[in-house]
Amino acid sequence: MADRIEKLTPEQEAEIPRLRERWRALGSATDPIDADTARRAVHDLYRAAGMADPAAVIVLASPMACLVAHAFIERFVDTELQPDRMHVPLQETREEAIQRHWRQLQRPVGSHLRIQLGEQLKGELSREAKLQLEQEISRQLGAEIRDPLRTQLAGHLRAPLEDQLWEQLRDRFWEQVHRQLGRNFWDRLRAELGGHSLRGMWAPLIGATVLDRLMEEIGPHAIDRLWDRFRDQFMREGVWRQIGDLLGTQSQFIGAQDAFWLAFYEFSEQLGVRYKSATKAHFEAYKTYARTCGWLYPYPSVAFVSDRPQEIHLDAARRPHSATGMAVKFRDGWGVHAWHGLRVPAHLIEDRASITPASIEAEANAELRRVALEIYGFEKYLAERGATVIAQDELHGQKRRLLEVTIAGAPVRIIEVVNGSPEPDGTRRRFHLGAMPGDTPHDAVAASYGINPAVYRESVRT
Amino acid sequence: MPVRDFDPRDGQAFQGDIAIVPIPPSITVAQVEEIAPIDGRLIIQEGEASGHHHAIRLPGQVEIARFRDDGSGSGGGELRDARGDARENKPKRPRVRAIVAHILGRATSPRAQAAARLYRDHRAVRALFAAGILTRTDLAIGCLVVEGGDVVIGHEEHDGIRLPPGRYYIGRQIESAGADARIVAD
Repeated sequence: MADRIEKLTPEQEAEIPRLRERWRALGSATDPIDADTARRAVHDLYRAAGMADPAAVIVLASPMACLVAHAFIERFVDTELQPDRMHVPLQETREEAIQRHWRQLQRPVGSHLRIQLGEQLKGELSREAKLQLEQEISRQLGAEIRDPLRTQLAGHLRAPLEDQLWEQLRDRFWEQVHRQLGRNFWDRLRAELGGHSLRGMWAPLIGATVLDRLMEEIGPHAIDRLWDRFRDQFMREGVWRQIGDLLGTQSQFIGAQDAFWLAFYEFSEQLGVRYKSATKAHFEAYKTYARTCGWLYPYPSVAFVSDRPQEIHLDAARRPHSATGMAVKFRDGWGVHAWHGLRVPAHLIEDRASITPASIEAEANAELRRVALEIYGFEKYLAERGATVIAQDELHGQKRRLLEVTIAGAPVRIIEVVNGSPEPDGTRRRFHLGAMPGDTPHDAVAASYGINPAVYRESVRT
Repeated sequence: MPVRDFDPRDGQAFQGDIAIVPIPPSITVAQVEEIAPIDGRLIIQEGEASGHHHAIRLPGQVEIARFRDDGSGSGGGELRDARGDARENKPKRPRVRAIVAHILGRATSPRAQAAARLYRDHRAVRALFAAGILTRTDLAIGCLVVEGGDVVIGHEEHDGIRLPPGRYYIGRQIESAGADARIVAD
């Protein structure tokens, strides 16, 4: 083994920002992916991870399209793979066969493709570079790239509570599909997927690896056509809007937006760290995937690949932000609106005229209320509502104000507080909450936390 | 995000819409009804719009791939223990080790021994109310017990707060909404 690497040379130090910018640019790329290149990259990634090739790699326009396609196929299998339609091998019970088929679609393979790789790279790197050096590189490469590309962009595209939301997505999505597309839906789906009778299609497949064969039969293009056909209808009937907020899945790979850790291990390699051949092959395959694909939803027999976004708009702190449209928009029209890193409903951005003092006051969520106030203009709001300052104080160098406004002829008190943590640009967010009882900011804030004002003493506020 | 130190002798700590209030020694916390961590994180509160969490990354967990510190990257932020075994809400052992170390009088590394557990204990909350610390009991999230070393409550949009070993009431914030009050949601 070569000598352990303990210190960076000036040249190596200078390379860090270059590498960082290279990966950052890739993570922010908006040019369309090439479908065939993407399919090859995913096949190579599966092989490098020691997995069997997926029977199909389906390339679609957005993460939402991938989730919907997955839901299509999963429900298709669920609905159509009834025991009476199945030919089951003698060694399996019908129930076992159904379970096996389900697992093909329900078990993401992230641990094989991604986590094992991370583990191998980390172990091999640790043997060659001192921990202190790792931390130094990670500080310079990781934090700089991670925040805008992953935490901000990817983090805001994803909803929390992944598993739970995925369940909701499936169920609600399907509920919507059934309700809105009606009985003819299955006929159309069957025509798209098979072009011949289901019984005829399924009969020879069952007993082999069902999903593999299914994918061979339907091919990625059928799903593509299916998606094209229903996309507009989903848009028109609001299905996307309803399920858009539920975007999330068990395991997605976020392509070049994963740059923070890829850059780290790539730089370590430039320093002289040598990975074992299998690890190196896996790493290279992963980097190729990251360079050539958008998000990936990998399953044992099928992988869904999303195109890159068509537009990505960030603020000066590199958070998703657009005051005029979607902050992240994909080519099929799906995307998200965001205001300085917070995902917001479309109407706050697209229909600003709908924001009124009354709508602001009706917003129950403090963050969304803050955004609505920022867009509407806080001073304008105060003027409209004839606000007066009842009391104010200062805590940790930040002003707090107890205000009274007139709403529908009645006086209403609101407390204005400042976020304890500064924004990346040094500014601080102001929040306006309905004031709890008290004639001073101190008393009103104490009451809002249910703490006795005589005891309340803010030692730390973040 | 930066991390700020909290000294319980100086008052209370606040991270956005949650309050962290030291529990006096005279009040016991029943360590019975534990709120389980998820994937190595003790989630204290989650924002409904932002999806951000007030959460403690539990010591004794190492990340498989580097930098996967908030679980929001690809792969779901799976965590494993030091042996590489996947942990899915399994009971942790650091507390036991901390107690054993304490009995044996061994000096131990705070990072290696720190443990945090969150309990629902209405009786302790009522005792805080009776002691004149709280003015209401319906905002309680739980009672946090930190042992063996410091832990950090983190959040995507707020600086972290480092808590030394001790017991803390964790509570929500409310706001007036006309005749009613509602939980502050973000």
